[in-house]
Amino acid sequence: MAPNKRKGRHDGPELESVAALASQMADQAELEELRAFKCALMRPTQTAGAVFDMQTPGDKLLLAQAIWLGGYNDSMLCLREANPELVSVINAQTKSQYDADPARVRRLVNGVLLDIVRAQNQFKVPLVTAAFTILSDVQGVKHTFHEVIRRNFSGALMTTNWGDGFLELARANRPAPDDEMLEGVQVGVFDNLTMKLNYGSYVTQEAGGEMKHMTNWLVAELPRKLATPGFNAEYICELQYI
Amino acid sequence: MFRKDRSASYFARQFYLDSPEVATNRSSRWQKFFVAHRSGRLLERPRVAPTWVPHKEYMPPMYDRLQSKYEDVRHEMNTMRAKYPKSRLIFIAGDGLSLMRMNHLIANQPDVYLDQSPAVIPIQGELHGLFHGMHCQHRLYRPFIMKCAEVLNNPQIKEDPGVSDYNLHRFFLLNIITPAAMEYMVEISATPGADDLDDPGPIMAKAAANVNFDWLVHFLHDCSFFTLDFLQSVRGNDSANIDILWREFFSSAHTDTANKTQYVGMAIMRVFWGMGLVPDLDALYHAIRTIPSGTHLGCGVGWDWSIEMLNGVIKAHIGAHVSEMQISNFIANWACMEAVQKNMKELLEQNKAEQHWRGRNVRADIDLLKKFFRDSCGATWAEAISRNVNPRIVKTAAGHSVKKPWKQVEEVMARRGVNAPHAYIERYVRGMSPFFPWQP
Repeated sequence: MAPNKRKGRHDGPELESVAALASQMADQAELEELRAFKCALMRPTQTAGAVFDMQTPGDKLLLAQAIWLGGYNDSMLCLREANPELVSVINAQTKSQYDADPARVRRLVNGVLLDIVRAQNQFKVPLVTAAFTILSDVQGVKHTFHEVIRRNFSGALMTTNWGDGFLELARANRPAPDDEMLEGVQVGVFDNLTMKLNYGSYVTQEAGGEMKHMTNWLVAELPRKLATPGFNAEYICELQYI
Repeated sequence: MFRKDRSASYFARQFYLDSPEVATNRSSRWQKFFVAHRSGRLLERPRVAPTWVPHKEYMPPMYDRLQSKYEDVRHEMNTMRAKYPKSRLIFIAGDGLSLMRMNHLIANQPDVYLDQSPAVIPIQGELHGLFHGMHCQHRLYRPFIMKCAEVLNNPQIKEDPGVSDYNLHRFFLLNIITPAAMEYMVEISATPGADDLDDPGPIMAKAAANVNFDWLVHFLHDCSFFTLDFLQSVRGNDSANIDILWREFFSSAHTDTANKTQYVGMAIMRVFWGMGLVPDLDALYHAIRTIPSGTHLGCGVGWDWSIEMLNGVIKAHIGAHVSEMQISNFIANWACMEAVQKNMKELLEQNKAEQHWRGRNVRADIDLLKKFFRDSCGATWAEAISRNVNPRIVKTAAGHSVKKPWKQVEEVMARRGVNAPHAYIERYVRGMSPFFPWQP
């Protein structure tokens, strides 16, 4: 007969049941944790001010203003922080020998997050996606290539038409400068530009090319802090200084 | 708006190379740049943080207007003034040609451009200013620069570069020839009998014995360090120093070889506006000498930089079928596009170290040039200051001698009578400022 291991131990049966109970509780806690994790993972991404709903007029205006102000990197930080479960899964799935470069990992995660946000709701536009769409325009990216990227990576770019309309909205909603401006003094800058209109290597009809001459210019107001305290342009212009 | 305590005669004498501020700056920048070179910071931007963020508004183009006619510039000035009818002052910046025309229009019609609101204060775009400062020195030191280009087999360097060649030539001058010449100087200054490298006076005196070393030392002192000083002053918005450099510029620009006829006048007028305004206005004029191009240290640029950038992107962006509507629409959107482009840098260039331009192997070029300097000037200090009249360091056409730039400058500044520099400058500035209450 095999010896009873518990024989002679005063607290044998009680301890065993406590240990079993503890194990059961730990399993339960882990299960609950896993359920919570799954629940968090399955819900739509939390957008935390980094993503704007184009069906909400107020949100659209906010995006049109935010695009001027920058903070694009911070907006992605907010998006990552608002979705820790999703980020941990993406991190695990993209683990590779490049983990030593945290900036690279962040960029990878950002890209996947943007695609997920856009895939979940086509009316939601992340700040960075809007910015990339404008940058694509600035860089003169070919329309066909822009479209290919947009169709395959919806978090990267919006359509060019959307970009055109958005630029118009952004133009109308440019935030005022932070600085208090100097009254009565402005700056104007100008330079000329000549472009060739409708020039080609050959002319098939009577109409040939022409040169388009123009002068481009900008104006800027100046912050009051750049002038001496009490600066008064009106007074200065009347002043006969000795 | 103008001071009444300025003398035209005193003003004119500020342009001599032995004027205290000009002479001190020429000497002190030699030391400053060698100290920076030794610590590997020669080409680093000045550690000056921008104090403001420009709020630029790009306006619809003025079609069929250029700057080659006074009528066009008059129209452009009036269009800009009409934008702010209630303002008292407007600073107007442009490139060389437009600035010259503005100066003449103001001189001819001060009752319109100064007495009526908004009064115009012309400001020279220092992007063009810097190019023409460099171009002036390039023309004078062309035999040396072209020889260096030949040694490096670099066909991109032109005898007479235009504004569109600015970046390439500036890079060649400041990132290749200058470090090579400075490293060579440091190298031979460690050999027996060498002079103190921080004091240019004795070095230049002794270099005169060896025509090759003489060219190299003067190139650094007059050409290379002038250009670098100008660039760093613009980046750091050191307006007072920019005016000192324009004063220094006169002597080189007035030579027949440099032949910067338009810019001589513009340099005089730039210095004039920098000293003629009442103190409060003067302080503002100097505070806005340059404009921040971003948020990084030493990001100052000339006012004309923004509009040059705009013209550049219009050309790059609007391709085959150009129409006025396309151009106008692009310009209307440009302020936002520019903001996005700037803001995106933080995202696109995370942890990106500042890269050397064009990825060119600068080190190999510098080493090759140093070898050339050793071979032509001497490998030791003693050799470098030994008599040598055979010019190997400059490119010469067969049978032609090359006139030393510093001798040309000396000749120009030694003119007497009505051709004396101060007489010329006084005549010029009086002619261009009939509205200014010069001291009798």
